[in-house]
Amino acid sequence: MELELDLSFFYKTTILPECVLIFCLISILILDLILKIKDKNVFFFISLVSLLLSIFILIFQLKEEPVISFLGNFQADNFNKIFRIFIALCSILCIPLSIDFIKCTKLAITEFLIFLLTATIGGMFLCGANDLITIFVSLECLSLCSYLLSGYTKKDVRSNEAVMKYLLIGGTSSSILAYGFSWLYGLSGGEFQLQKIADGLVSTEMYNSFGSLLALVFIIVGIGFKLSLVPFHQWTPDVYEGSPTPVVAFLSVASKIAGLALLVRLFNIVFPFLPNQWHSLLEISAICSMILGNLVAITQTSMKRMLAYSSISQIGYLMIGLVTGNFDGYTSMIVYLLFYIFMNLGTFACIILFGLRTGTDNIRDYSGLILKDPLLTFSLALCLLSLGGIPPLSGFFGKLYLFWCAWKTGLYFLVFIGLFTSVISIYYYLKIIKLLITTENKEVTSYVQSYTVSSFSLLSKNSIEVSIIICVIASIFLGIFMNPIINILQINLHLNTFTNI
Amino acid sequence: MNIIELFGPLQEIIFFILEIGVILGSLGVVLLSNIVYSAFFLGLVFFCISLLYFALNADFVAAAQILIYVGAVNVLIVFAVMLINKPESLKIFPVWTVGDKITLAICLTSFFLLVNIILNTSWSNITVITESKGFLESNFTQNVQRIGSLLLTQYLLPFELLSIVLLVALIGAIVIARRENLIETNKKKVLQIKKSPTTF
Repeated sequence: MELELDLSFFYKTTILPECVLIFCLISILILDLILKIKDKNVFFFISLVSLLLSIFILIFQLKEEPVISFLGNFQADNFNKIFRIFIALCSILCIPLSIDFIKCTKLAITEFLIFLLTATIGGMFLCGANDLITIFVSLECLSLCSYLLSGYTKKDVRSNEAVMKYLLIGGTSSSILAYGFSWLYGLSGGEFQLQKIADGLVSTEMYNSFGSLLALVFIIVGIGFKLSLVPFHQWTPDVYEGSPTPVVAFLSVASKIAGLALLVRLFNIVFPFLPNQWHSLLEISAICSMILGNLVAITQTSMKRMLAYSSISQIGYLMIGLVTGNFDGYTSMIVYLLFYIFMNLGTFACIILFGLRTGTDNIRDYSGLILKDPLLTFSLALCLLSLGGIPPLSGFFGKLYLFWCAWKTGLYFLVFIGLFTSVISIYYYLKIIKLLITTENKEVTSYVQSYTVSSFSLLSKNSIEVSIIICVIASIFLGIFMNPIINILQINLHLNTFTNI
Repeated sequence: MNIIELFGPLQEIIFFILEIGVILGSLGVVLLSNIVYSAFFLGLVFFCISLLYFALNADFVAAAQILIYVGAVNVLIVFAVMLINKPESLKIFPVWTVGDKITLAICLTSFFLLVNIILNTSWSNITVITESKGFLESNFTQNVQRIGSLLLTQYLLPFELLSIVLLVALIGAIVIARRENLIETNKKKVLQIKKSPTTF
């Protein structure tokens, strides 16, 4: 049939990275079914290799021209290729974190890897999705796997509570998003593809009406729940506290990357006529996220809840780049996102290691850790300082570039709020560091006393320590090499369609 | 093709009756204190929605709605409700807290805002364009044929992605339903067998 020839022309290799992951997923499933493999590390290596392979394919594809394939379902340009690389990077860093955790809690490892890989696939498709149906399906793919992952420890009551809250709120937000999509579909005269929706809105003369503004508001609310922006953030601390920690590490990074990519593409392609409206709405939510996230984080006693509020404030900082809205703004957002991946995952890796060896995540129980394990204390302190933005570390350079781009565009109020809240965040990060290294009263808590240190030889490191070392090195030294990173990003983003405004 | 559009005023009457059914049914789901009645009212809502699809000439979607929602989802809900066996709460009108009043106010304002915007939008301009476009690509006469061809051409990517979502949902359901302590009991049995010779 002629139809098939046409289609094979349209496929090309645009979704090859995702196809590699799907192939790996199915092969893991079949291998686990057929062969009774005792050593589950094989699956771990298969998934790491396939993720690395898909990152390499994406890096080689960066030189290609932007194309829209699958009859308009999928767009592959450099902007979303960079975001897809980031998501795959997150899973590469998260899988080593989860291996030891799963072994200690005696859960099944194969299913965990399958859920994690499917969430990665969903996120990667979400970055490139170019019509409303693909966006919705890939978003559901990502969030379904997130629900399953966060309820993975079935016997833990807190995990059950977290997954119920997450499921109900996620379902509500998806339905709000779908309602917003239905408004877009109706107003544009029955179009699905993002570019055609924008044309349809012009041809029906609806681009400036109340209806399209309403669609905009519903879409912001729907995606805001996924990103945990401030008016829609209530689920975040509970879910973060209850879910297994490696899952939280993955969710706090991957869902934010995918959500940001979706937000940027959707608004720039569909709503180019209402830039002031969506910029001001996002600006308000960014300010609220920064202020509320940082202020509430001070009073927290649980480490995971503190990090939940800290991640709410970080999404506020990322929003600054999006509100800036020009080429520099998007570049600074991507640079800060890259740093945020390493800083956040490094912090979570330290907490997972401490939690596995002592079984607690209270901030109070961390006191005097330096006597037992100086290396872990050092890594945790560096990651926290980098999150706060202390000068020689990479978090500082990321924030500096972000604020500088926003200042150039004239968003003085936003920059002021950002600077002010950064100072608050440094306060509560330093409070934890002081607790870690304080040895005055010689009173070491029972948790730290029961802490057992593994041997210091390099060969016997477990996978969590490897990923801690990678994250700490990246969050110290990436900031120094920021100029080359910015140059590479700017060269690649110049091919893009909407970032050249 | 357009069976029901021939009777213009009749369609409006059918539409009106179905809408009343949907609204009353969903009110019944929320307000009734007996959870079994709520489950049956949910069935009524699903049934009315599927009839609504029939009135809009989407016969395949209507059949799928009845098969999946009424036939599978609602029956499952009724089973789950009957298994729970919880004593009925006697409170018909629960006490209103401040949060409830705020929520009611927000919901009412957003409802009136929505109604206002829907009434103010000139939908007639838009529908003309879609009708003229619809005639051009109607090669297939039946709904099922058109859905099939669209699924394998224009919506191929989301269709294939949905298969992965279904696979993961299947695995997830098994993981949730599986008994974790199966391996541990086996170990205990082995231990008991090992212990038994020492007692003699």
